[in-house]
Amino acid sequence: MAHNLITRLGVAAGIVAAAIAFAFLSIISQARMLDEDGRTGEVAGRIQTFGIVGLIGASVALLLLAAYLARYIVIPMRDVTSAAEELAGGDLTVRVREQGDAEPVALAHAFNELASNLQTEQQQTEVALTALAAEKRRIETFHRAGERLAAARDLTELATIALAELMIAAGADSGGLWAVEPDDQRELVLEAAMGVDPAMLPRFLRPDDSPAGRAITTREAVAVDRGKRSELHLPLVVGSRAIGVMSLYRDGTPAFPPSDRDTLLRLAEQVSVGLSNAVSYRSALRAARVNRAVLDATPDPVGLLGSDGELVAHNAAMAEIWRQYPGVDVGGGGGEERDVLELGPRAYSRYAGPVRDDTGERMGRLVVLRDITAERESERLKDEFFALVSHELRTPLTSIIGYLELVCDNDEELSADTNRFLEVVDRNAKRLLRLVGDMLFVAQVEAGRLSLERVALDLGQVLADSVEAARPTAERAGVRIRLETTEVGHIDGDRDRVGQLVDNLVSNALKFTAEGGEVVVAMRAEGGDRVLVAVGDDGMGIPAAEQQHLFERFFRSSTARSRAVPGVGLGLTIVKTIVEAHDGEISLESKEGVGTIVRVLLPLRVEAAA
Amino acid sequence: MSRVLVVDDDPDIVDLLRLRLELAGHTVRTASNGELGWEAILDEVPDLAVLDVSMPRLDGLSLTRRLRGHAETAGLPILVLTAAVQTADAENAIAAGATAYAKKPFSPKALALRVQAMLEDPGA
Repeated sequence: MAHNLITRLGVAAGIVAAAIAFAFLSIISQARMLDEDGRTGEVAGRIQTFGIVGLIGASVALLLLAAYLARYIVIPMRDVTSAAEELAGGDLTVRVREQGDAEPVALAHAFNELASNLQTEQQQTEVALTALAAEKRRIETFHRAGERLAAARDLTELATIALAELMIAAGADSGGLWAVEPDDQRELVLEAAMGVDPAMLPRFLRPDDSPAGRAITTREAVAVDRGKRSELHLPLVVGSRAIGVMSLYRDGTPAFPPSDRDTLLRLAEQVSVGLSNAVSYRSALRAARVNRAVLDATPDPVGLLGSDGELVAHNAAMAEIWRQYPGVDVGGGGGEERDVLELGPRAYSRYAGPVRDDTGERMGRLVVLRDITAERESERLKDEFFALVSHELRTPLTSIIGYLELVCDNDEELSADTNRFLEVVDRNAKRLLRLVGDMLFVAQVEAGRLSLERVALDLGQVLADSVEAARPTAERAGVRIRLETTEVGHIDGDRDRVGQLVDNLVSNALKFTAEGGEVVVAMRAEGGDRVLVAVGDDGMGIPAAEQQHLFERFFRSSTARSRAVPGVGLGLTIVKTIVEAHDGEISLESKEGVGTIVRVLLPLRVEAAA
Repeated sequence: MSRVLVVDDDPDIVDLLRLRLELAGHTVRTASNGELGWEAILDEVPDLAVLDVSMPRLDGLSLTRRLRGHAETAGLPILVLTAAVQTADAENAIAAGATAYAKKPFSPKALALRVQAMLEDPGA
């Protein structure tokens, strides 16, 4: 192109020069023709001279023009042209000398500006490309981490992957990751370690007591330079909650550059979400496992029934029931139910009722069975024991007491001694009978099986019978016994039990009264609808401190023990039980050395209801 | 002069009752268990039966039920003896068809009076 331009300029200059030369040659030839004519010889000579001078001047001018063109236009143009070619070839460092005329200088200047701008832009582009490549690598890391994290099955695996990715991204040699323990908010537990023996890292971390702890507390990266080793502690944060910390270590220099920290923090933040989910999941799994274990360890069958009556959840014991009795209806109806379910040889107490979640929404129907077969069996054994004791002890006593009566009723005359001996036998047989009765009574009450056979009972008659029966004993002890009753009507009572109650009170009073003393059995109406029975003595009395224990089973007062008064400590317990079973009240008043009085209030029978 | 059958597996009790009831002027037959009692009744229906509850082979309550299911003995006065302390046992005796029951230990004299009363008024 430069060549062409110069060629064209040369051709153009040549044509102009030829045209000028031709013009001057024409002038010279015209002058000669004029000269031949001779008419104008002097003028022709002048014109010829002018033509020659003009031709020489034109040639010189033409040479000067050519030199000018080459020096100020063509050479700068060629320089710019070749530089432009180099620029086009990719060399942005190329520059041209700014020389020649104003226009070529301007052109060269503009070219240099252009080249300089291009170079700056290229440099910026290169920087941008480098940044872009770094970003691409980072995104690739994120992506890879994300994929691997998503594939991780549990917290430990997740923590290991997260730690590995962060270590690669940070160029760390080793590292550790601690995550929160859902059950213990105060401590973090080491979940992963790489490039270092896990034993070298603390098993537990507490917020605030180390650089790693500080990272948790401040939610910021904490860098520590220990000379031989650099550390970077990155908090693992989800929302505002720190769920863990990652510590990265690098031996020697350089330390982790601050410029990397933002990237690493972002990466840490990314893995935190997954880790947090894994922490929650593990916690939920653990809770579920605990619940499952507790449920399965529960010996009682437990199940949750859905709306269609199918088992939604159950424990091992319920599964066993289900296996043995497929399709058995354990759920029952709608509301709360408590009853007994008989399944084969076993009996279950059953509770069934609705279950609601914490929002009050109905989740189904809970069924809890409790195997009461053994309890039933023990109840049955207790019954058998009752029957056995009743029969085996009372049957021989029946013979003893019956034959004694037969002997005494016999018309045959017995010696005084024989009579006395028989009396002793009779007394002791009756005492033994009472003792057996008392023991059985207490056992029965214990078992919650006290049943009363209530009839219209003449309490005055019961008292009289008791006193009569006690009279021989009283006489032998040298104690007077007195009955003071007024007619009060009937009570609604069990004849045997009320008799037992009065016998016990009288027998107690006699036992604790010394020779020469007196026992009074009194009865009167109290307030129109109740009857008061009082058994008093002027015996030894009961120490105040012991009085509160008198109604306790097997309690025996210090006086009873020290004076070897016979008994097992059941008398007053039985009295109180019988009184309460008859809707009555009992109170005791006693003073040491003065005596004791027991008062029993019983409701009178409502005759209209009889 | 009535015929009373006493059924109890305890020979002492049987003797005691026999002595007492004979003193009261009755003719007494005895048996030592329910099955033998049943055979004795089939042999000769008495005017009254005293049956112990707890006996081998056939207990008093089962015998009572069997007697009540038998035309000839459906109306036989039956006195059941029970050594149990629980009221439920007495109720069981009545439910089985006994006319009356007495708890062991009993006074032989009182029991003889009871038998007398039942013979005079079979409805009591």
